Amino acid sequence: MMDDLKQRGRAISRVAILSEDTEFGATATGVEEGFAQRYGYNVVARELYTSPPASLDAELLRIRRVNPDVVFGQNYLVDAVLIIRSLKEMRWFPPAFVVHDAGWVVPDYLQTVGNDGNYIITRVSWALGMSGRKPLVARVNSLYRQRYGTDMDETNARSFTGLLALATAINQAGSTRAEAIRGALHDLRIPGRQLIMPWAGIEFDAHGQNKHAAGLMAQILNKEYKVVWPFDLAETDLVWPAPAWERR
Amino acid sequence: MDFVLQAALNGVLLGLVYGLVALGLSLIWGVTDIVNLAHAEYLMLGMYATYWLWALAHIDPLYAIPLVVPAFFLFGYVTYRVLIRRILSAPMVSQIFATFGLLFFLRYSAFAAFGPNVRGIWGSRLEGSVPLGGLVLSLPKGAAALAALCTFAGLWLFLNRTRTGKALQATAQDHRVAQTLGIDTEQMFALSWGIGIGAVGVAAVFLSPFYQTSPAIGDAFLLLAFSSVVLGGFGTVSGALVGGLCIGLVENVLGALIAPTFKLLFVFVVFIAVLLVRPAGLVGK
Repeated sequence: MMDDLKQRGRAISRVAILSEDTEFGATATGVEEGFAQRYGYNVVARELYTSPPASLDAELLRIRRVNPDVVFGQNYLVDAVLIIRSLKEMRWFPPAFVVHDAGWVVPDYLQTVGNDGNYIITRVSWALGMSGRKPLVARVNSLYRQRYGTDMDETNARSFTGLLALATAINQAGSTRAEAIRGALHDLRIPGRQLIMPWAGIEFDAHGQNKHAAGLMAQILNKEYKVVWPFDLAETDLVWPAPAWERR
Repeated sequence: MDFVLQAALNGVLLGLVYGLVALGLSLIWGVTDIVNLAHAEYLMLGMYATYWLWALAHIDPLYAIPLVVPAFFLFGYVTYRVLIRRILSAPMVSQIFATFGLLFFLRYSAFAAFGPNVRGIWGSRLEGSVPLGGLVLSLPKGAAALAALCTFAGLWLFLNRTRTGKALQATAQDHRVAQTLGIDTEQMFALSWGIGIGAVGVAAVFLSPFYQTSPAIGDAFLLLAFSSVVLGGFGTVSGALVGGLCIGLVENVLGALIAPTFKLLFVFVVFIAVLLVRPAGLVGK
């Protein structure tokens, strides 16, 4: 997404990372640093903390001082709420705050912070907002809603797609023997148009990973998660830079 | 320069809040010689009380003090009468396990009653910040710091200017001698729990506008509260204030200047250094 934005003329080079320090946060931070180096971004701050923190003032003060173009975050719910409170008290918000779902996509987050939670950009693997560009999403969601009385979410969509892949493989194997199913999974090819995920399809590599898996980026706008990238699946325009607190 | 001053200002405000959280722990420790491991759970429950008053009755945290603090005074008093007085003369291991059990009882009662969800107050009268030269003063943290100073001052006046306060101090110094002087030490023990937990109630009310609660939120404050008490001086009320201020300043100033990742390391390096020189803490005797 950042490379796409750079191609559209946006200057992005300075990256800061604010993350909790367990396996989740520390690993993601390492991956972000690796990709930043590979794609030519400069990591100007890297602040890890133990969750739940009593305060994040020192961490945010240091990040504000280095004036990053974007802040990456791996944060649990309590931390996410505290970050928004602290940023608002500091009267500062980075041009972009890009996060790995976690606490930022738990319903309690927006229920607690309301409109102050807007403009966060989060990685999601699925979003109902894709239905505008991919009608199959709306059709499957409609069936789900009829049965369960609520819309699908990211977890439901992933589970649904996983089971669909397995069922297809069993059908293609024509057997319930483990080796036959394993072979069918190895040879499985499901095109993207038959999936509700934002992927080009399903095809497993030698490590059993889907070669075509991809994610979406959503931005919180008016307390809703809106798909903003990839641009061909976007349901609304990305707001970058985020407006200052006094202009919201 | 503004960067360091802002870190110092944040440190002073947070340090006073840590001191306020630690105040009750120190008082209870000083008077009854009980290490209350469940202390931060009372803080969590106080924050829930403040939250529900705001969410259900639309009572701003600023006005929740007259409701939460007396209720928590009573809560502490009842805790003493029901549980603590039975273990007052028990071996220390029994006391530790009793308050450790109380910690789990309170935490998982909160889980059962309120669920694991995070609850936060947003939009209270104590929200936002004001510019202060080149710095920014957080209104809720400023209010909490002021409340901490007022609570410490009020408790100091109570302990030093009233008969009951002096009786409480006499009980803290030697409860057997106090008993021979006609002081109802049983009542003093219960009173120390009432005041100690009531003070946590004050901390909970003023924390709520800038910190969210959940059943396990006590973890964020328990270690800091114990460290404040030990660093300042075991069982001394002023020690909690001094210890809290030291911790707030060290973690914010050194954290901001060197690396926030190590802010607790800095706190405990200072902690160990002070205790090596003054084993009774900065103001302990």
